[in-house]
Amino acid sequence: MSIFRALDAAASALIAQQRAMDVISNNIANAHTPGYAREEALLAPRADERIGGVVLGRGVHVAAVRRIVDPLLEKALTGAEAQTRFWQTQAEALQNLSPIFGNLAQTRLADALNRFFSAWQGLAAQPADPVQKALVRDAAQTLADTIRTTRAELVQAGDALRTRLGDGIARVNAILDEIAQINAELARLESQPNAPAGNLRNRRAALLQELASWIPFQQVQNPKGELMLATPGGGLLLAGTNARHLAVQQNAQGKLTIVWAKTGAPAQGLDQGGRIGAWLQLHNTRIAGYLQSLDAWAGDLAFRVNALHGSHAQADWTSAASNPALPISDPAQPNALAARVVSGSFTVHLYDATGAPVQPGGYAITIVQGTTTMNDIAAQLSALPGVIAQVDAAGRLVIHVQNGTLAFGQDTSGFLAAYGLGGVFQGHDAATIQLAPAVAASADAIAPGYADPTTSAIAPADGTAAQAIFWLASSDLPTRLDAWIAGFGTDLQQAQTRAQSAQAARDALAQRREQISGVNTDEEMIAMMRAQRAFEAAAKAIATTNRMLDALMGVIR
Amino acid sequence: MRVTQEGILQRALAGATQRWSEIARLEEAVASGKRVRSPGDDPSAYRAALATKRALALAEGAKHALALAEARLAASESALHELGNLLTRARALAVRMTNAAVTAAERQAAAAEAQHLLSEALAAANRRWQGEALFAGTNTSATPYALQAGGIVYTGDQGQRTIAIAPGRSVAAGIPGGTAELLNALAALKGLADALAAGKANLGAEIGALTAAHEGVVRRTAEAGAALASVRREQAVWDEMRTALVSEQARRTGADLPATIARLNEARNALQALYLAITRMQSLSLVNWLR
Repeated sequence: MSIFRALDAAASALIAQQRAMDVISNNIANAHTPGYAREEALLAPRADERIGGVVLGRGVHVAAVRRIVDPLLEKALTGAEAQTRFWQTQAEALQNLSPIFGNLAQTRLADALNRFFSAWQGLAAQPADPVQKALVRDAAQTLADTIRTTRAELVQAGDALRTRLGDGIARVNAILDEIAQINAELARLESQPNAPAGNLRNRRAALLQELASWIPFQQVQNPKGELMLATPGGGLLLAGTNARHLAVQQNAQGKLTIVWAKTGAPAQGLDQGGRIGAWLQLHNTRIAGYLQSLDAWAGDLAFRVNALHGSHAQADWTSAASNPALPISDPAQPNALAARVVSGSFTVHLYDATGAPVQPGGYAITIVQGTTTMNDIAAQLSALPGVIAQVDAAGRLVIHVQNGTLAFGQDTSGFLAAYGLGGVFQGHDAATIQLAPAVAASADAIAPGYADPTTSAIAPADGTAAQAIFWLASSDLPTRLDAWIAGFGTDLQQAQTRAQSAQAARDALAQRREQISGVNTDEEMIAMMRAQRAFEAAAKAIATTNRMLDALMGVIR
Repeated sequence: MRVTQEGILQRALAGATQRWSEIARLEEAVASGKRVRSPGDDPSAYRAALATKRALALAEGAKHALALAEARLAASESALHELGNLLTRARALAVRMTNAAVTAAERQAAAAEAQHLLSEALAAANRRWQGEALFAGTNTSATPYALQAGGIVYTGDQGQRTIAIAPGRSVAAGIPGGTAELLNALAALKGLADALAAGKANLGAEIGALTAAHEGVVRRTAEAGAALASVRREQAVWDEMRTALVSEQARRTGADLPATIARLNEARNALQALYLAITRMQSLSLVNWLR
């Protein structure tokens, strides 16, 4: 045996321990790097050498640098991350919506509704008092404004989500591109033996984790060992080095959908997790639901208050807009309350310039559901003495009485309430509700009593209409509003609870991953001491061999 | 089980975040004295609190409406009482004038006095309160009773002025318009004034009419008084209801302060213990022992 073999074996140990130290140092350096998986240098004896009849070892080498991960745990962690982000994002966004729904100190819409009913109670007690009428008008104005503001704020919150969704999808596409690049690099490196690919895999793992915070996905390896990512609906997001981009699309109803950028076809299942899923659900389901309920409630409020409103005589009246080509009860009318118009009639009370009724008991205007149009009503009204009625370009019924006034009453068709004629409000939902033009022009148009069906007389101290509107305070209108607000509270509470439990599940998995893949600096210190000692021993072996060589050389000299 | 330094820090961070969030929530509850402030705190309690808040607003409205009804009824009762006094004085005058020894000059003076009593009675019957005629039914802008050639004319309506207290609950805020008692009273006074002006000596019929009218007015006065007493009883009921609602609202939304403060201290201690544990764990690392 050559003495140089001993030097060679010791030298291999120096190199191997030095590499091991490199791995240990890298582990220590990344001990607190998010997503880093510790590595281990696997030492193995070099291939033996047979010399004569003797088999001799040739030292040591680093056979591989192994990345310590549990693939199943990594997958579970990305799934948990998607769920945690989904609920956390919902909880945060709903918390941001909270001021719109108010708090007990300032309940906003509920306060405005309370003040509205209180004002009618005051008018019912003092029907002839102009101050009470002014208070009712102010309360009605505040209520309509608060409803519209609430709706506008919800719409604005939805629009902000759409913007964030666009930014989020751009980031998802960038992540997919980067993972595709890493896949290409990995494929190149791993075709060579012992190539250092650990950090690329760490980078890819971190990107997958970030991707999971945006969208839910499934990951599999194809038979070639390439990473493939798919949406929960089965659409391929990434196959090896090919990434498919996503885009956001909004349909005519305002609903947002995530589609494949190239084909425009919907990418299924992305609303089930991640921030993108949370924003989709908030925009398409939660906020859309709040808006739908608010619209229905505001329309119902306007209709029911108008239906109970009393009679006030004045010369000019204007209804809400319509499509004159369609019957006034047609659900296709731009007025959502049109569907509430039924066959029936309403009474028009006409008064002369002195205020005396032209015909005590008034004139009946007939409405047939599905048939009567705005023009038909204009024609019936124009046939009355001194009345000029026409439908303007916006489909509004415009009425003028020459040398006299007109009051409405006894409406069994719902037309007056739906189209805001003689009512308190015009508008059919939370976006359009506003004071009726007559009320907006003068608080005198607030009518606390009804025209007598026989004499057409309107008694100034008749507070029966005001009282009937006040009694709506015990109807389902306030309780539906309370339910709407409490429903939001339930959504918020549910999102917060789910976020907490998802976070707990994710933290448990993260802890488990940390136990397997995390760096324990004490362990690394011990490994470092081990490597250091081995290095020192190998160096000693070299020094000893060197002295042996010196001795040998001395003999020769 | 492998334990890493990063794992210890992550657990510590999660624990501290949770404790801080709990401390913030409890401190807010202690500062405001409220357990429920927004819909997300407790949706069902919040919904009930909204309903109670509405009921409190209604109770305030009811209190105001009852005060209004009370004042209006008191004004009506006072006017009716005044009318009753006028009828008593008129009857006394009529009895005095029935004596045959009454001179023409005395009769003339009595006629003037009767006319004055009629004017005062008309003023009482047309009494206004906050701009509204008290005895005109719901046609409160009218001057309901007028003296015309044919007698007393009523231009109000037959309506009853009511005031809404709460949904489905109203109270009468006066007597119905155009009641026979008021018309009879005014007619009886006019009859006396006319008889005295005509120099009529036998006033038996007029005295009878005045007596009957007085009884009628007294009956209506008693009715107004009864309505007033009823309104006052109702005021007491609403006051009690309001107190009960305030107490219910406080119970439903208020924080249990002793328990909240105890939990706050517990959370603070837990946070301190957590920090201590982290510091101790960190000091045990091998890094600290290697030189």
